[in-house]
Amino acid sequence: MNVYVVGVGMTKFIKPGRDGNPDYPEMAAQATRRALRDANIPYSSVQVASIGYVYGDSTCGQRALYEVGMSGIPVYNVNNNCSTGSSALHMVSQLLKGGLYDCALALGFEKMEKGSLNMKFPDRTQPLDKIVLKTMEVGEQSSAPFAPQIFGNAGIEHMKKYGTKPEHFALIAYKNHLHSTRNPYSQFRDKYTLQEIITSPKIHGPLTKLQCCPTSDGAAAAIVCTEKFVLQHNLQDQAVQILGITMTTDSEKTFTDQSLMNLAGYEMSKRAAQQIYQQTGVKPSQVGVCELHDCFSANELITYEALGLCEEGKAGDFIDKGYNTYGGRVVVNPSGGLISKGHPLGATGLAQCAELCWQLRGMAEERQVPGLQYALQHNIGLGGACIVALYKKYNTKSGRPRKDQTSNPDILEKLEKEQPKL
Amino acid sequence: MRVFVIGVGMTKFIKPGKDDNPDYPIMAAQATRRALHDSGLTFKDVKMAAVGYVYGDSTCGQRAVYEVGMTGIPIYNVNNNCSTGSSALHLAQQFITGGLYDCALALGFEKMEKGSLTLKFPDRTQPVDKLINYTDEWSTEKSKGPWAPKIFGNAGVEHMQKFGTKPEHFAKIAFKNHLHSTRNPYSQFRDKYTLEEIIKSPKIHGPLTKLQCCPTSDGAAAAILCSEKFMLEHNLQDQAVEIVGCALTTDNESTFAQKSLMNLAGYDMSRRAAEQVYKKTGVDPKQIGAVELHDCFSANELITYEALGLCGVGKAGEFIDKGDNTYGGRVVVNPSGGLISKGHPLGATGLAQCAELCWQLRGMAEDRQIKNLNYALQHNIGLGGACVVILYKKFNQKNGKVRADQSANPDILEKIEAQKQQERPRL
Repeated sequence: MNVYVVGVGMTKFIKPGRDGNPDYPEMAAQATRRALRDANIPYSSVQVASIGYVYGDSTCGQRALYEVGMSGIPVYNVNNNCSTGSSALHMVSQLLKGGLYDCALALGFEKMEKGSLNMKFPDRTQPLDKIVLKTMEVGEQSSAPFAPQIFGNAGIEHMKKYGTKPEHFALIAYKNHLHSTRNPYSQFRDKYTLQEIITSPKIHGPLTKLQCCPTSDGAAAAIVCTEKFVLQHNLQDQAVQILGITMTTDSEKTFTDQSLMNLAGYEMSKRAAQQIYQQTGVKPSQVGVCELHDCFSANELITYEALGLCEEGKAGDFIDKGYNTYGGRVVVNPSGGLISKGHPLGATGLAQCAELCWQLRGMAEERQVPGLQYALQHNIGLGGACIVALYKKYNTKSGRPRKDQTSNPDILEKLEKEQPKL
Repeated sequence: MRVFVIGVGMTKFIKPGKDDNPDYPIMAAQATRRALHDSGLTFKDVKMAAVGYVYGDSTCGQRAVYEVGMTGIPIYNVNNNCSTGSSALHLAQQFITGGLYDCALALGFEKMEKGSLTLKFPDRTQPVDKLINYTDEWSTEKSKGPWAPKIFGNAGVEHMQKFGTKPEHFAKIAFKNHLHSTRNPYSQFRDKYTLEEIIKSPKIHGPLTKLQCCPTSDGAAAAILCSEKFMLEHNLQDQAVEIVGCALTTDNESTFAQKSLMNLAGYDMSRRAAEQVYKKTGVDPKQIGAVELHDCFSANELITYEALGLCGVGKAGEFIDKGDNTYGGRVVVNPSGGLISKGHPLGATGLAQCAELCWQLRGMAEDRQIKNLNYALQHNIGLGGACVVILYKKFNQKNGKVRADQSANPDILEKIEAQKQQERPRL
């Protein structure tokens, strides 16, 4: 059964830890209402919800969703570290594909702390214990937090194997910061020179501070449905088909290959991408836009190869030729990516979905990539799980059939003030 | 598409917080291996996993499952407070019934702290904040103390006010469950108490006394689910237990709109879930011979008899007085000893209920065995919230213990595991 995204919404991603920040129920409700408004359906149409968040007591999903409506539908709280948001999306896609429901909500949110990720349950086995141990054994160690060490080491391995240079990594961050100046949802919207990026504080390996994503508060949501629902509700023009979506977890190769890139999830990404291309028959060269998991520039670099956007070892060349941005072969992270847009763990995967749907529907404003056919999403969490999804617009009509539809948060805020509850 | 449980396993539930308690990967791996052993399958047969736990950083599910195998299959970490285990089970069932996979693992575990449930993220909205505020506001019974017994104690108070139920009725439920647990080698506590001892144990809230409240526990439980095609291909007909119907409900407007203390405690979620299952399957509650339900506190078991239609609304007291809720009565409720005596490791509970009911239907429940079973019902609820109700029936009439090395007895399983360990080649 075919599955479609018919509405998306998200909140502006903001710096966490400030007193005036909205709490998670407020952010989540806003994202959900934006997606419902975009889809032009009432909450009562939603038959199941998969809700992703990492930091929070159990049933935060319900507490958030109940702000929008209490209809007794099945709700699952789900998490998979940084790929939490797309895990929620994957779950509902599978349930719809299996014919269990006609219309579902995938919602993700996160309220974070400033600084790097830490463990909340130090009195028990840390899920990433073996990964951290192995990366320190096989790679370089420093006093940096564990996440940039793991991905920085992946970058070092790539440089050793293929002669990639530190500048290549910095160029990725340069691109993402530049892209973000056109994204009103982005936590940061500053342009930096390559020099500024290279000379920002060194973190680990080729990674400097401006090549690392921040922590953020934010939420994002998608309404996903079957073809029957699309037709019943006359949503053909804005429907974006999820042609394929797959989730991989670690195989033995994460540890047995003694590869720092595999410890950072490279092999999970590669397998997920292979599955998608095989399932859909689409080639990577047909992909015009991609939102991928640039938690650190090093992960974006190795992921070009994992996703087949370029050949193995050729990422440096790909970057040098500008193939990864406007005017090149595929625009990677038009939203600004995690590096500049921000990374509220539960929301990220769904924010990627929102950006790609806006792109395919011609609603991406000044970020618009022209002549799009296929869009690719990649979201990964160590521990772990990787989700890759391929999207295509249902028809070639304008994806913005109603006047009040927009991807612009400032316009949405105005509309929301005028009409507080749908 | 039909769905079957073809293997179950669990660990003994134990008192939490002790230094040498096994950590979650060990418990979870043991439960998973026991379910695989019971099913006669290997981990490679499993095509997806739904893993439930409440306390732990993200991807604890993978960390636990990877102890058994790393095959790259989709793995979801899920939670729904106390109904976490059955939420994992429900999700796995949905994936199989939808034809997405042929064989799935539903696993749940919990490593807890001693004492009552605490919130780990005090700097943000508590998911159960409204429940806590309203139960205090609407109840005539005020006390200081942990929120969980208050919410359920108040549900008990409301039932007494509405229907004339007596404190003794609640105590009798705890008496029954403690008694049942003496026959359950997995149970955290296996002590029999007199009704007097239960009534005289420290007062907690409303009719609830200490021996009427479940403890916190460490433990894990797992189930292997599969499609009919897989079941037939692997010749598992004789041990297969069908999930003939299931439902997962969450709160609707009735939780707050009716100013009912029972609804705050999830009564209406339970009622709706049971209703959906009976409607879908056409089965009448009278046909059910065994029930594992969510006796976090005796008060919840009492009101749940009515929510599940095991007796008429307001008739729970009579049902209890007649002994209709235990051996020799109409339906045996919580043959395992329930949460009250067996323990309540949040992520594992729903799957431990599944294990008990499968053993019962397969004739493997040893001295807890209920005779002439047709249907068995599971009920698991978490405030916040979510309620899962599942109806089971054995696939055929043959003996459900097919192989000599299959057992529900953990001491026998431990011997088998020790032997396997010895036979493992040295690296």
